[in-house]
Amino acid sequence: MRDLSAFPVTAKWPAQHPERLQLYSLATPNGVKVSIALEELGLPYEAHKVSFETNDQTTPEFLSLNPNNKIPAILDPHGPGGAPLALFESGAILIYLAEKTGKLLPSDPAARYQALQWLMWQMGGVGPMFGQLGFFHKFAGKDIDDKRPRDRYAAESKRLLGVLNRHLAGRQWIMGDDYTVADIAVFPWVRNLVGFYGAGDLVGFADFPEVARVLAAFVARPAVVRGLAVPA
Amino acid sequence: MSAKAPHILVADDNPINRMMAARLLKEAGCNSVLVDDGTHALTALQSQRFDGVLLDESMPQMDGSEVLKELKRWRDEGRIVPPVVMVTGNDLPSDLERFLALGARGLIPKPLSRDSLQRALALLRARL
Repeated sequence: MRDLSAFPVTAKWPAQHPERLQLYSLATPNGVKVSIALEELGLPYEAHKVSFETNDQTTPEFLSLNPNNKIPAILDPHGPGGAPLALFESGAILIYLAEKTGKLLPSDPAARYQALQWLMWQMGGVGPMFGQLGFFHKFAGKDIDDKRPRDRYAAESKRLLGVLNRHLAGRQWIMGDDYTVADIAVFPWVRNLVGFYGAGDLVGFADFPEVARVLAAFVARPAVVRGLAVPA
Repeated sequence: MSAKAPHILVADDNPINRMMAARLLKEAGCNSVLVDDGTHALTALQSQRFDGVLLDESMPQMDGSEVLKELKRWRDEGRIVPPVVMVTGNDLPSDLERFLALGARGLIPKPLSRDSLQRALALLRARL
């Protein structure tokens, strides 16, 4: 039986099940990557909501776990060597969960690196570009008269969608038959772009039928349906 | 912490508390070094490698907060500093916040017990 009550983060978000992996998150594209992966893997976990409305992410309790004040973050009571492990950055968490369980990454070494390549492609490209497009299209940035920032991020988002669309032709998932953490990283962001951000027309989403096909298959997965609603 | 017995520094000016901590740590499979003041804690930290520190707040020459501040300076200089958990009666949320800001990992209220030591050790062993 683990006792995590000395961890300052548990003062604000008490662990009811301290033997389970603790997830501190919000149902954003980056947040749901981790809950979807946990659901796919069937790992027992306890989800805690980090509310942006009350700036939970900048509280000392949250910062004690993640100095980068962003969700998601985890505290795994059973980390490597049996010691608790704290992690932030959704991409790093996905790799950790995949390696911990031996699932969601191909076993073939070359394919594994290619899956990581697409994961990094999401972390460095899709996330930042789609995120900025959301800001300039839907949020505070939409009132800026100068449309060059919005157009720049729209063009880059289109380019990324084109790359993905070409790659997905003839493949079930990003790594072909293998459903991996790369899919779990990429498709919540695609879903968010055309859904919550309402930027489908702006990026000409109809031009990317392969992306739309895999997105539909992704959101139909029961674990994805469950993971998208975490934390409640 | 390595597989061998964890090496823990205990700084507390109260001899009973030190003795208690040493006994509980031994029970938990840890080695301990006991000091009665912040200045001696820093001396010990300069000469030995520890896996963690259990640090009292109020001590006569140099208190726990001052120790944390000095350790922060060491860290800023690139020196490897072991994780610190405060063991103190000053356990209000505002105290915790202050100790976290000074670089402690957390706070265990006094007096130390078998259970609370386990919690402290989990926090010291954690990879944060």
